[in-house]
Amino acid sequence: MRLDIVRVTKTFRGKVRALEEVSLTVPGGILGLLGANGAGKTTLMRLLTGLIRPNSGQITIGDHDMATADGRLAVQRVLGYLPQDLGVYPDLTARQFLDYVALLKGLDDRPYRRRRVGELLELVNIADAADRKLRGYSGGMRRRVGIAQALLNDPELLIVDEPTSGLDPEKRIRFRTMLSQLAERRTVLLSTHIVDDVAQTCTELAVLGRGRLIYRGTVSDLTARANGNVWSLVSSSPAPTVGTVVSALPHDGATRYRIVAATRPSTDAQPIVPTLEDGYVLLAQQHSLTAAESAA
Amino acid sequence: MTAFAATARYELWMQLRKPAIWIATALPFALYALFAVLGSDSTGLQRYRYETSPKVWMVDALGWFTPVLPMVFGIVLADRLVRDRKLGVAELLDSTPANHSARLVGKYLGACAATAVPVALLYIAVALAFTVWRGQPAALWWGLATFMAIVLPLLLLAGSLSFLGPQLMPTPLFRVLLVALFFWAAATEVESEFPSFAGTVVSLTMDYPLGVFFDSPNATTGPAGVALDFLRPRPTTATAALAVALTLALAAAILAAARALNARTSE
Repeated sequence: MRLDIVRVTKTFRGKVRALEEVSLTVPGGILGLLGANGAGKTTLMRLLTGLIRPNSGQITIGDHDMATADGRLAVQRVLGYLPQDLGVYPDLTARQFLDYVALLKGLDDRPYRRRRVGELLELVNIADAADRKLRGYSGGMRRRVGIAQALLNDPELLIVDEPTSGLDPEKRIRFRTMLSQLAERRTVLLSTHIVDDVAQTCTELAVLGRGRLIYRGTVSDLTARANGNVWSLVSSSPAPTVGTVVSALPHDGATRYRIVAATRPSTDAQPIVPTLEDGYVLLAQQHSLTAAESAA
Repeated sequence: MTAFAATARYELWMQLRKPAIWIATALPFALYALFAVLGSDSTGLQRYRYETSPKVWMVDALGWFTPVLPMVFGIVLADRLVRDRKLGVAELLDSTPANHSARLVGKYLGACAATAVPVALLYIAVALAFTVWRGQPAALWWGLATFMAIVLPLLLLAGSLSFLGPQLMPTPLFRVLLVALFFWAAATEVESEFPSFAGTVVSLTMDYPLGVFFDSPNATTGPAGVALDFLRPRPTTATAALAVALTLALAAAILAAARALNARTSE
């Protein structure tokens, strides 16, 4: 299912501009959407689910124009959505909650609905706790219920907003694998601020910064952009002030810094092979610089 | 199954399991019953010792159910709509293809039905008590008639207020104002110095249907020569039916406003 977002702007209460002239095309498969908190990712997700409408611009999903009620309804019929702040009814069990959402998604056939709910409870590994009230669920377990509900209607379009937050490493890996498998025959939009989730799941990504699209391309291209801009420095002195320190690890009584900087931060610094996180940090640096220059 | 039926079913299920609806209904009723048992010959249960009419018994019993229980009903229901947003469920449910109006009406009727269960059970208990005491099963029929014509419209009105009010103000404040509204409606008289809807077709004490359909001696109906007399027509079957219809229409209008406001808040 193809997504076409053309010059979309969304302003809240006439003041806060969450998205500005964002244009993005997703032909299918899985797309990672990266950005800092407040970059506009959740606003974009909510626009795509039809929960809110843009102030200007056009969104087309498949053949459906999201500006029309019919278009939004048609998309919602084939949509699986995991919101960032998913809530549940604490007085229902996981099975009941999924049954309720399934009914709202139009799964009217009772035997099929029951079977589907059972399958998904197994898939997200909470079948043993399926008949316990959600009140007693941990954050990670609730997240898994959220993942299950998103898949109830076998969606053609799956939009997941920060899906791995609250999951332990093992569950996170399992979910990422599942997401990649799901993307084989549907469109998946993975919004996150966890770079590793995108690095391990997506080949294509978009980056939002302050409500604007600042990158659209492949993961490998963004990673390659950081070539010659990532440095390793072992030092017992305070952290360098040049560039951005991506990591700091203890090393033989000193500290090994990983730094993203356009220039060598120290004569002792050695260039190293970049990762996607380095590419993302460099992009954020460049974007901040551009924004500061524009403001000046 | 439609969005309406699914929402009504689950809302009914969730609300029925909420201890507050049982406690909040039983407590005022128990207090009222206690006062009735301990009351004097003219105010307590003693005055019914020679009563043989199931109609009089059930109509008098309405005094136990209105307006305190609709008020309690509204208080208990006040969190139902706003809690979806507080719990973070609203965004997920709004992203489904289910019709929003159908969901809201299902939620309203499911929650109202569940909250009405303790009230209805108490009312049935009162009717059964008379049936056993006097051997008059007609009390059950009079109970059904008075419940449908008097109690139910008031419950639906209180329920719709509880879907609208907490969207406009904090829920605790709404609850205080709801109590004030029902006390004002019950306490003020037609000739009161305070502005009053007492004895009108929109009275929260349902005077017209009480007086016309059930011959209640406590009902005040007809022109009184004071302000708002255009709302106090001559008591007839038509004006009594109009009073019930107006209460239901008011409930529907308030619910529609709640739906519109909820849709705006979602944006």
